[in-house]
Amino acid sequence: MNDEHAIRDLLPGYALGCLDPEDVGAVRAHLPRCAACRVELESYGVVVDLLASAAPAAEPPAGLELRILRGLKAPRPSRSRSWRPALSAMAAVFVAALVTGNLLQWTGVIQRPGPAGATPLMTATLAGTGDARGAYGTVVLDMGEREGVLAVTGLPRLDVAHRYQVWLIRGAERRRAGLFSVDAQGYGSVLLSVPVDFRDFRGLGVSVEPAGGSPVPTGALLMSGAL
Amino acid sequence: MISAPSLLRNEPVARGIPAARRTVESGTTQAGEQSDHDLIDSIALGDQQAVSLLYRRYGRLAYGIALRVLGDASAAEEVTQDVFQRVWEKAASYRADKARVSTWLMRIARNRAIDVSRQRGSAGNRETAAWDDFESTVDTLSSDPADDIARSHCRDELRTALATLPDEQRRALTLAFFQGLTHQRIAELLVEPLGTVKTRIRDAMRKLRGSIGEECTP
Repeated sequence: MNDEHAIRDLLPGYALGCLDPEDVGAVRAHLPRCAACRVELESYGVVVDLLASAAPAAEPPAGLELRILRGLKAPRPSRSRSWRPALSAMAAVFVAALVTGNLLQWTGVIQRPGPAGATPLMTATLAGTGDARGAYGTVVLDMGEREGVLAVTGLPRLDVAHRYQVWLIRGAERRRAGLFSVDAQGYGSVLLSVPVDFRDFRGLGVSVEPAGGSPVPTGALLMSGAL
Repeated sequence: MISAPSLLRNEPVARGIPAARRTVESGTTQAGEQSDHDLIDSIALGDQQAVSLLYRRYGRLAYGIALRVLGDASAAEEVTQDVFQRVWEKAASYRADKARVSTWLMRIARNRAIDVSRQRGSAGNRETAAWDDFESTVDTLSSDPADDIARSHCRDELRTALATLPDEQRRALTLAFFQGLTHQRIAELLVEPLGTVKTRIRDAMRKLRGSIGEECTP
């Protein structure tokens, strides 16, 4: 079926998801070529969404909320402040990805107990999502020196036009915190500049941005973690 | 190697991580309340309490949709769990420019319920919800502090339009929406020509689309 008028007649059914398979194929083949049909389809999508939102609600069984929470699966970014579980996996990353002498100092500080009154360190982990589901990262922040380092593994390598950008997350704010690339093995690290009001920030995120960075996130959030 | 961002995460409305303090979001958030976008942000960062809050806002609606599709409380409960599990998994990839959080949630609920119905082979084998139910439904989707009166008005307009549809259009639309049946299957159930069913559903959707104002489109 190639008749454009006939395709338009199918758009309401396509939005509802009730087309027969051959009609689905015809619409899908047509849509990339027709902006007008895409716009019209979107208008029917609004109707379908309103139908869903206007549907009658019903009282779920007691305890469903608790069962939902207990059943939440898949690893989530950890709030753990323990450096030790990640150290054995990440130590080689840090050593291999030394950028400046400060990183040598970092690894030395982290790997031995500090004296009483030493500058507090904050650690957190980041987990990958979406296209970066297998990625893992660890960040260590020196609250006194207001410096930090993020090391990641498992991120896909990017082309020359893009880099990974780190964001500090606070409310609606997304503050740039660094740019980095990963090597062929998916390892990367970056020194982070920690702002004076860092303690107000609640999370870290990583997205793909143009190579020179972006003032605001434009790419999908690929890694995130709570601070 | 990936050559470009695979997803665009636009954030047209200021969103925040939940906090006890007030969040300013274009003047739409009340003191101490979190918008749906705030909750999704928090869920993306692993906040289970945010899942709780989102459930308290939309659990009844998600469960209601599942129950209407499946006609079985136990199956509807499982689907509702699936819905919030999916939100938990996909929160980081949610795109605010594509749909409201409530819309996204209800799409997940309807699609999952229809999938289960098809797997059970029960699609089209039971009496479906009556659209009359919609006319008496209290607005349940105004839980988001960032939602507004216009959205509620859109639903009212739709409900009014639904009530004025000819019975045969409404019947066909019900089977398509709540049962996820194809045109062919609906034609078989109603013992009507395929072309007649297609026309009825098309005409019903066009009427509904025509009944809602421009403010109802994203």
